Amino acid sequence: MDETARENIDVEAIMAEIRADVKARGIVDDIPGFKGCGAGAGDGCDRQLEAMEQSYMLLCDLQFSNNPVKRFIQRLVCRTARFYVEPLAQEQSAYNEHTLWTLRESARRIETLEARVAALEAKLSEQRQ
Amino acid sequence: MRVFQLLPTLNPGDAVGNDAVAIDALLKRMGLGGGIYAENIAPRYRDGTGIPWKRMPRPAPEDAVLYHHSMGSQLSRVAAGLNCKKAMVYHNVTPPEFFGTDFPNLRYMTRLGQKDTAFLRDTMEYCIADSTFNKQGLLEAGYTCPIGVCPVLIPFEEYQAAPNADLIGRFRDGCTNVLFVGRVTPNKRQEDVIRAFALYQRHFNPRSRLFIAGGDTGTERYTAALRDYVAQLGVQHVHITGAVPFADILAYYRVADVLLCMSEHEGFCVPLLEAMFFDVPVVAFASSAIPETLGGSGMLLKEKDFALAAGCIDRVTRDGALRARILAGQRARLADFAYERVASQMEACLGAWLDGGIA
Repeated sequence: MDETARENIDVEAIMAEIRADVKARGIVDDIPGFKGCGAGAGDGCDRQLEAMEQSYMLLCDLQFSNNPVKRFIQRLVCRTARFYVEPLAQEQSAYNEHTLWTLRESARRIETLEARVAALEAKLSEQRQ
Repeated sequence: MRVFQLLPTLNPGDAVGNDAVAIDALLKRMGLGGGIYAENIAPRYRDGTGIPWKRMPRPAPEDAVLYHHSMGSQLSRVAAGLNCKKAMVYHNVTPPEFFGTDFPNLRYMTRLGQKDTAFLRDTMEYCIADSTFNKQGLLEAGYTCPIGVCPVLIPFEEYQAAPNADLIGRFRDGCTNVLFVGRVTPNKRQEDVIRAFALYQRHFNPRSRLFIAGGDTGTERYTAALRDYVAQLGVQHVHITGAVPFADILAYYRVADVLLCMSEHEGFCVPLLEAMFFDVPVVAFASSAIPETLGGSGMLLKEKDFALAAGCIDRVTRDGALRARILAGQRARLADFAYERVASQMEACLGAWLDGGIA
């Protein structure tokens, strides 16, 4: 990029000015966050779920032997069986994916319920005192 | 020698498909064009531009295949198994985490894409990454083959085509038009564009309009959630267009006063260059390859501060002197991506690889 074009703009200074202007106008970000779907919704998970996530997908790739004869047979079997095995593996992977997310969702709900139970217990103990 | 291009999906309006078409033109110019072969071909490209991959001739050992990788596909295995020279054009794979629990199919495809990146590691002689950010991704995935960096090849003369005049007439009305262009997908964070725009409209300029232009195949639920969000915030004049013809995209750029990008994952981000081409100042969040593509031009937000983003939109649309300086910077940056310049870079990359000059 042409350096002269870049040097003309002190982006940091302009940003500082804009920041000051925003502050002076009393603008605060009071816009509620997005609760729709996608990454914004957030996912709670523990290590077991992470481990499951690493292995839920079935791939039809074999580590072939170094022995040329074995390697030939393995490749032959792999190629001839692929038309049958690959769709099954994909179906199973999709099922695993749904299972994994059901577990994730259950874990999330349990977390929420535990928090509610804890809050209620705290309230109850306060009232007892 | 022929060079075949292989990719999962050939789609107009998609950076990967457009890059393949542009490279095909370049390869033909070099006398090496072997055609584009894809698994899914959009109707517009079924005129012979794209050919179903099963009809790809068996490459001779001296032929070469360029595999465009951006998602999980059976073609990764096909490309790896070919007995010829093989190189990969790496456009980056969106991290599956962006799709949350709501899009298991997209999570699956992107996870598969990551697995394919690992699978292809030892099968490629050479890789071309369209940004150093993407190159870094390949290095982190353990790639040891030579990796060249060459930006996406964009034939800018196509942007001189006639825009949709009706849209221009309708929206060039004195309102400030804020634009975001890109597929409607969670990693692009259109909700953050809406949030920043809501603050801008509320505190700076009620006479403003937001266009979110881009297709949403497979993420229709996300679009619905964005529409709900717009309604919840009570923000006015937000147009979520869905997939639109190229003439409409040209019209949106022509009426836009600023391009606002809050995306959190981009391997390159072509709309930034499109905005530069149409002299639309860019305000963008500094994530992934965005700072690299902007190369010091535009206005870069180092943090997701929505009030600051709103302030930037206001400043860049009101302050003529600043706008002129930003546009001058953008024009200078755009020169780095001029077709002939990038074509020479790509030609040099391909030439060195095909001539065996890359060890």
